[in-house]
Amino acid sequence: MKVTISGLEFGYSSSPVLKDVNLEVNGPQLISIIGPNGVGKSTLIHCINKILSPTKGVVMINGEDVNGISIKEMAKKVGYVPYATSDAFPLSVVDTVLMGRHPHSGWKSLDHDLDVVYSTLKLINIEHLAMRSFDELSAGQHQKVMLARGLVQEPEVLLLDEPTSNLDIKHQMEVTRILRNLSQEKGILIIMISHDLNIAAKYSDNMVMLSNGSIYAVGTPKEVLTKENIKAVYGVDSEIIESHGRPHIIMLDSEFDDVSEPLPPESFVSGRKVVEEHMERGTRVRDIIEEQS
Amino acid sequence: MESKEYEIEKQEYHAGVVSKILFIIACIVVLVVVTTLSCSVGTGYGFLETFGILWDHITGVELEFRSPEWWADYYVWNNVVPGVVMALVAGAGLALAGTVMQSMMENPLADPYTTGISSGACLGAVSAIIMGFSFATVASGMGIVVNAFIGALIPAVIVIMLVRYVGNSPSTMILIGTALSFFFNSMVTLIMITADAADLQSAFLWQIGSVSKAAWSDLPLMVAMVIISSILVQAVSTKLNIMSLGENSAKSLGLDVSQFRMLCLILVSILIASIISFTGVIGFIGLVAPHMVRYIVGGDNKFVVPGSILVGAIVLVIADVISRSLYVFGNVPIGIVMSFIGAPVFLYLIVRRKSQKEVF
Amino acid sequence: MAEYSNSKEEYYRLARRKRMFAVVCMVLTVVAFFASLTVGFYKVSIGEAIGIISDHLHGTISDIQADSIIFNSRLPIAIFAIIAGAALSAGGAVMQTILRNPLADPYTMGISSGASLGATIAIIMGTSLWAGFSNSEFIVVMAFLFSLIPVGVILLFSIKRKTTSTKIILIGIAVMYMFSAIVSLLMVTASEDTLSEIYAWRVGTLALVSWGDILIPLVGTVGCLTLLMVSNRRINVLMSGANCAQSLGVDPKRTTLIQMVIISVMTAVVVSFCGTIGFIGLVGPHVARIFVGSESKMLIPASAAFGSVFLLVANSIASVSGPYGLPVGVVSAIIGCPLFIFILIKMRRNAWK
Repeated sequence: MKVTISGLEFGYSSSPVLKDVNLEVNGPQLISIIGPNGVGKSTLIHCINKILSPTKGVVMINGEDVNGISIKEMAKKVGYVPYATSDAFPLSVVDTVLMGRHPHSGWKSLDHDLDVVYSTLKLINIEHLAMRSFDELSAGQHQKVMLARGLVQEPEVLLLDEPTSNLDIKHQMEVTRILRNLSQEKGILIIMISHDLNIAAKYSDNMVMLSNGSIYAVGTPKEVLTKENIKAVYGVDSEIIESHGRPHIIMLDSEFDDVSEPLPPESFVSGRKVVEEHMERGTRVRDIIEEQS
Repeated sequence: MESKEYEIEKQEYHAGVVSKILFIIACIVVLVVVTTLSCSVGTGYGFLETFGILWDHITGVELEFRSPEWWADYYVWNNVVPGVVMALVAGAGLALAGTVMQSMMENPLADPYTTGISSGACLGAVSAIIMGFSFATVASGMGIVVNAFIGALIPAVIVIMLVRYVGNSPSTMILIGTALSFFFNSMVTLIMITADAADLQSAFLWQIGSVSKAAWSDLPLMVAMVIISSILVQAVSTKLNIMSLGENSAKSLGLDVSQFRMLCLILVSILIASIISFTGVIGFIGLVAPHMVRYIVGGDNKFVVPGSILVGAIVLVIADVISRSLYVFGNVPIGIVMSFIGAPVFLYLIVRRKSQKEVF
Repeated sequence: MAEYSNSKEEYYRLARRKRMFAVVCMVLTVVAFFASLTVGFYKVSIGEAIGIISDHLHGTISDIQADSIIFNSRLPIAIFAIIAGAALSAGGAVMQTILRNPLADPYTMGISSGASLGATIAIIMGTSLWAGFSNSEFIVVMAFLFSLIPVGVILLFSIKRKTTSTKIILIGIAVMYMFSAIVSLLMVTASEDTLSEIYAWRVGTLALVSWGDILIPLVGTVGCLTLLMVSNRRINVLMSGANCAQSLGVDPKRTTLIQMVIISVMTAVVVSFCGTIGFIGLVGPHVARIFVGSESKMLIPASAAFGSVFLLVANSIASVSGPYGLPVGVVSAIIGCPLFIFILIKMRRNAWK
């Protein structure tokens, strides 16, 4: 599958958001779109799946202009996992994910649809939540359910808007890894917006860096995440080290590193053991700490 | 010297403040004009003549007893002015209440009746009119007012008592208010449907909202409440600003959100009760006036509060002008005129809204 | 795939339990139906009532008065109650789903104010204008025509321009306010007897329903309910918001508008005959939702079934209250209100704001 964007422009009446965006993405892979806040990442994604109409330019999926593709046809090709869920109805998780089968389901397909739903829930390790009510779940669980709903669409292209922002480290890695593996196993082109540069760098096949409404850099994580690019786009100094063939960004702050004031001794934190010792011995906690260090 | 550093920015800030103050002064002027206009409608006196009559009376000019000027003054001052003043004061009070409600409930579609006050007042009034059931032993005119006042406070009291158990959030209050409105309105329906036709009509006309039967004796309570409320609300206008940041942010800025919300509710309830017991349920002004003002001066309640008070008064007085100009065609109470003005304005406000926020 | 057969079994079992609620309601409807035939100032037992009906159907009428009361009055009223209850409650369920608002009901888009306006005009004009129509027929026709005007306005506003579903809702509310203003104006200028009549119409009553009033509501309700059920998956998808709905292949604006038109027609067809009976459309879906959840395939029939029972019971109560009976709208409000408050108290735990 192939997504081609040429000459894309989008703006609200007062301000342009995207200017002259040109991009060609081919074949199944995991791509991260990165860039500072407000640069137009969500807007770009919404232009791909027709939620927004660009003011200029063309988006093509497999060589076909999306303007000519009906909404129903789009739903079979392109899946979407939103940033924040606005679902708040007391619907079970299974029913919520089942909605994702809508583009494919017919009169008698409930059984097959349920198979797809359950296998997807199992894939992202939430099958134990199946019968729970959606509005009782935590934010992280919400995100996983939304991801499942996007996956059961069995799309060729999957768009995700910050799919891991509410998850803890372990689940961030887990979900991103699953996405990458899925892209190869099922042949899906997965495009995700990411705020965590290191996680994106670790798992993505390619990255797209946006700046000022246009594409600043495109390529593998190593090619895109360079000191110069990060400085130019984010305005931040950094040092790039390599871990298992992937770049890892270490942030530098000239106004803090090696120049910040050390903490005065009156400000400290103690674990329980020290406090108990102090109470027993009747001495000052500070002396105990000095003793131990 | 640090004070020199931000001269330009400070100048810009002050310029913004000055323009808003100018707006308020402009509103006061418009209010005076419109009030005079309203006093002149239907009296047969021209605009300037009416202004002269009012000015003379206010400045205490001695008039020769039973001269034409004396009659003019007597007529205008006793028959026309009370109604106009009631419209002015009611408009100011309702708009003020609406501003407070919208900040307090963090919901731009809130109005003073959201917590069910209007339905309670209707129940009180209707039970007095139709069933003769009254809390007061005074003559029938005051009986209705007293009933309506007490009736209006019942939903407020229920809301205040219930939030102790179910929590103080705006959405809870709105839901309780809605339920109470449904309940009281069904009671009203029950009473009205079993009444005979004449009583039904009186009850119906009371609810619609009118200032036509106003007398000077009706005004003191309303005027006092509106003035006191205006002063109080203006004093806490910065707190209202903080409320609209949301519960957590407000708390972290040092505002006791639950307590403040409760105080606002109590104030609004008494204010509204003191207005609608006399006028009936005049809608829209509490909802729409704050939005109109915000469109011009922005969202800072320090300016929105006085702006709403003035704009509310202006709009309702204009409605009064229209209402009495149409008198030749039949009785068009001010409440109806207000809904004809308010509904299109509401529609316009919606069509202009750019945000996608769910407002329910 | 046998792999998930356990989980799927659980899912199917739950679905069956939900269907039970609708079945139970339908059984209750039948019971209430026959019970309602016996309720009223003319006392009769169920057996006697059935006997009178079968006599009529066989052409052997023994007691003309009994026949007139049971067959020509109570029977059509009971049938209409089933139809109207189902229409209002199911309409409310779909409205609440597509508008994503628990306080929505079938009147939210201005149908009630439109119908009120039509009926008010008809009552005020009286029979003088329309020769050949009886007074009540005229009211029905006017109420129906006018109830569709708000929907027409909304369609006009939304079809050409780029409006979001949120805006559509708010436009509907604004239109409702405008129509209410006109109705209030008319009511203020009416004489006291006319006002009484208008007020009674707005509260809603089934007392004047006769056999001639059954066909159109029946056809309309059955047809529209079928249409709603056919689109149940699309309605479900709308629950997740406009953007998600579109990404799942459902055009949010078009679907919202189409469903609104269907509900409007169904409601209009019923309300023109009985007035704007309140609460059923609001409370019925909530009660059904407690038992069957929010999924439309279950919620629509469950709401319809519950609505029928509710209206039958309310009507029976209404017909024996007070010296002349009460309009059913008052009873539905008095029962519906505490029920609604109870549901709200239960609901406060949910994320619905």
